[in-house]
Amino acid sequence: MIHVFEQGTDVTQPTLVLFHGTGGNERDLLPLAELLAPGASVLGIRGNVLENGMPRYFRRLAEGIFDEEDLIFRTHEVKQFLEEAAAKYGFDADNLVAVGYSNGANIAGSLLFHYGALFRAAVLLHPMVPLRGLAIPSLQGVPVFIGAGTNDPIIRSEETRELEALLSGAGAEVTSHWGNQGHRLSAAEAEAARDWLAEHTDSVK
Amino acid sequence: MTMHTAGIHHVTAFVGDAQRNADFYAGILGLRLVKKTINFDAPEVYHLYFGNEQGAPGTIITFFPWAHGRKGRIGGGQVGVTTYAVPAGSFGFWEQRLAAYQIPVTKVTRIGESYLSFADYDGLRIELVEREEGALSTWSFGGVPVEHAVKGFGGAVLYSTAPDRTADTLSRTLGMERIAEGDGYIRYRASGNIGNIIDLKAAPVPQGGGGTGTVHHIAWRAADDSEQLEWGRRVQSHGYQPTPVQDRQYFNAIYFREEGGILFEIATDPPGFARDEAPEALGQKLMLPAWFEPQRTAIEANLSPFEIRELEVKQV
Repeated sequence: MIHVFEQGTDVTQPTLVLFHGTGGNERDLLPLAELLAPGASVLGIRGNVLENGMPRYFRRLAEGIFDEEDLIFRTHEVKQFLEEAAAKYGFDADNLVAVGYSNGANIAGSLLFHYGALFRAAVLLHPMVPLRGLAIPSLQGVPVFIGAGTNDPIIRSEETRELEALLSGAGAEVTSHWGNQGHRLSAAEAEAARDWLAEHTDSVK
Repeated sequence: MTMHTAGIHHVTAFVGDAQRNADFYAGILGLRLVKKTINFDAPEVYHLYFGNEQGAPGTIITFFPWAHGRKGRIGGGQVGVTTYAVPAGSFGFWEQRLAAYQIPVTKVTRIGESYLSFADYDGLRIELVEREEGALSTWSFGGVPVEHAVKGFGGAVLYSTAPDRTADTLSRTLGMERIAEGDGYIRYRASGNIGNIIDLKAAPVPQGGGGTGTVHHIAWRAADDSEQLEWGRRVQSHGYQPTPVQDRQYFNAIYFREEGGILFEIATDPPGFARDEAPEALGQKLMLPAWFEPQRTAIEANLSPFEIRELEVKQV
């Protein structure tokens, strides 16, 4: 997969794995990572699927209608890539934090749904429920931050609450931040995620 | 200047098998397949358009037949029922016809009108209403004579998770006139004479789930590209973020999700379906946009063939 890896100055910190939104690329969330955890190593991954030339992590047939077969295939593909990248760059595959926005938050959510505690923590910014009807492995001890918008035109509040319930039901400790900036990632949300992460990475070190 | 949409341009839904889809809409309802193309985001999925002879705006229902799709759940944030207009005095014909194909029908009343209510093979909810308005169909197929044929959409019933917000969008943003209320619905009229009566369920409906057997979006008419630009500005000034204009080959489209959860599109009347096929040959050939043409052989090999066919009556 096309990606960027930047070695951090503090290798005891978790490596942030960055998943961009539709139409983004592997570098999109680097400034966000710098805000979230200065000094941490970062791995930015570009989605392998193109929709009208715009990278995504998995295919959809239309707004909100996911190709679930492709989503499952791509989820396993990313998992395998993470193992390869850990071997190649020498970061600790057991000390990762996922950071995803929109479509990127959905693939990160799907990784949690399929692999449980693959990440030590996850920052999901404007996520949807990636899949329904799945038996989610234990997420005991995995803190998850959800950034949501009360007026997000793409994601209904009910869907965010459904995701919260699914993650909590699998044992994750879920913290949600509600803004009113639509589907956009706001500064307040990023700062809330930073404070949350500082609090929770102490405990995962 | 106050702008008014003429009403529905098209309705798009997800369904299962393509042959069953064609059998229902062409074989039973007698509509014309006016375009056979692919989902531009997923080339192994058809995009089928059924309408009147020309596929005029206000008559077009489009489908993504997706055999591997998850079944949806009709609910809030969706078009709950798609309404077709038939000529006055046609109910007898349609009651007999639907019975002959063993489609269960109930007769319901809403705001002083009678409807024949039924579902297609995938569970999409359809109804027929007798209306004087709207030109008679010129297309006859499968034993549906033009004097009883579907003229196009009568309108639609919207299920909103926030009806007050949706009501506001219908009247203030889209310029529809609120004309009646009753039986738990609020009725709006758009300026056209087809696809122009929109009933909004007055109580909030719990969120539905998208998938096969549900409507994905409803598109409203814009006269041309410059009017569409105006609509875009207007939608934005009402607090929504519409998508950039997207080339759908037979119309240009912008999308936004209104606050009751329903995905709205605003689509241009031109260029229409005769853009790449002769009017008499509409829907016969698989049409691909230029950027997919080099992959035609592979795309065709991935699509399961279906035909437009006259159905045998199962029981009379």
